[in-house]
Amino acid sequence: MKKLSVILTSVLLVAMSVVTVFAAGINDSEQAVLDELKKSVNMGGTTLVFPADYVNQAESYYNTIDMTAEESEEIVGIIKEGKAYLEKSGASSIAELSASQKQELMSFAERVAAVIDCTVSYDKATKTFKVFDPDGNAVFTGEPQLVAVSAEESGNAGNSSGNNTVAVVDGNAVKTTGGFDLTGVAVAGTVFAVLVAGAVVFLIKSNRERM
Amino acid sequence: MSGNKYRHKHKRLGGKSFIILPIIFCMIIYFALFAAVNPYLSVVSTGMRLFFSDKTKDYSTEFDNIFVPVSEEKNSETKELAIKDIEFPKYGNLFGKIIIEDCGIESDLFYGDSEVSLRNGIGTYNGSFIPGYGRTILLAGHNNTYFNGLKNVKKGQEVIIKTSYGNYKYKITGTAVKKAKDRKAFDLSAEYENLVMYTCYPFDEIGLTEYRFFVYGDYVSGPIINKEDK
Repeated sequence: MKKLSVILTSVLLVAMSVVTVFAAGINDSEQAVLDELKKSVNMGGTTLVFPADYVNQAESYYNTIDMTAEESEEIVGIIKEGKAYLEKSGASSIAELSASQKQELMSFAERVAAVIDCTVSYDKATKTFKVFDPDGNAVFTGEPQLVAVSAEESGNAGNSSGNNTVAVVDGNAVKTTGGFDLTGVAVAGTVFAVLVAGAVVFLIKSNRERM
Repeated sequence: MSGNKYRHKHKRLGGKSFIILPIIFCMIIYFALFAAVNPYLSVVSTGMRLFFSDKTKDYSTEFDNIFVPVSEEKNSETKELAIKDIEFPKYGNLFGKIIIEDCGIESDLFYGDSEVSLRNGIGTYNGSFIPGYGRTILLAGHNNTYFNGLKNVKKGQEVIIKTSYGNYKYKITGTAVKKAKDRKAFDLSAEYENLVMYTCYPFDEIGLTEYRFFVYGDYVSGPIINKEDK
């Protein structure tokens, strides 16, 4: 009985001392990836970087996971490979890439995402690139773009040190926060009016012909 | 001669045109109306629900709620928080509440600014950060619902953001009307805690607008997240 009470007390004490620990911020492995993301790439003589909010989205997601050193190394390797590919592409922006080059770029993104069990998708209609975590939650949304680092953009508000540069500009940070657009309804109303008018004309003509 | 020709054609249809034409017209009209209104149905239905529904919101289907309020007593004791003790919200999570008493704003706060989030409250852009993180917090809300009260905002007013890990206060420092595409409206690479809220402008305008009303705030109080304490 004494043994049992000792065991029960121990279990109770252990249970009481349990503290919930979440993915602990940005570890060194994750920081290495963020640092690589902040580094610029030179395309056709233009220095380009990922928009600041894109890097922020990565940072926010890394706060919810724990990336290992192996995963980090692999991801950094793929990013470097992707940057080298862009520099050799001959284009001076992502928009100038050919369809096959864009496809190749997409495969780099897929490889990066796969390392941490994420998936990517691209919506041609909205030109939006998305990354989903293993649970299917969107962790990154943005247009596939790199932005030029101009003196203006990397001025006071920017964060620039050596080759590590994050542009001030945002990708698609500002959303539509208005109500609904009645332009479409107005167009539909006009179409409706035209159709009704057409039907009336048709009926009048038919009646005249009958007469 | 030509009249006979048409009469003949009409006879050949045998009055079917009176049935066929209205059906075709109806189909065209329904299609046109559906195509035009469909993208806005959800917004309209949300607006309608706000006024006419007396049912309690069902959070279980659209998003996860991780918000557990912190008492003011506990909050005042905590000046700093270890990052390992914080549950970072995932995209779409309801993780807090925002209150601007002077403007009559009290709304749920979501992480992410998807359509679902903005339909149910205020959204935090996931390219910005959560309160206490020491960076820019960019919040969006609809001008005809949750952020309509921003039209009453004045410099010096207080913004309270409650989360599961702490309660934060910000002081409004200014407002500005800027184009949605204005890249200098805010700074997402800022290395200091600052609050930016926006909504479509003009207020109460029904339609997609080119401008946004930005409200800027400075951090006043609330536990700072220690990113080194992993």
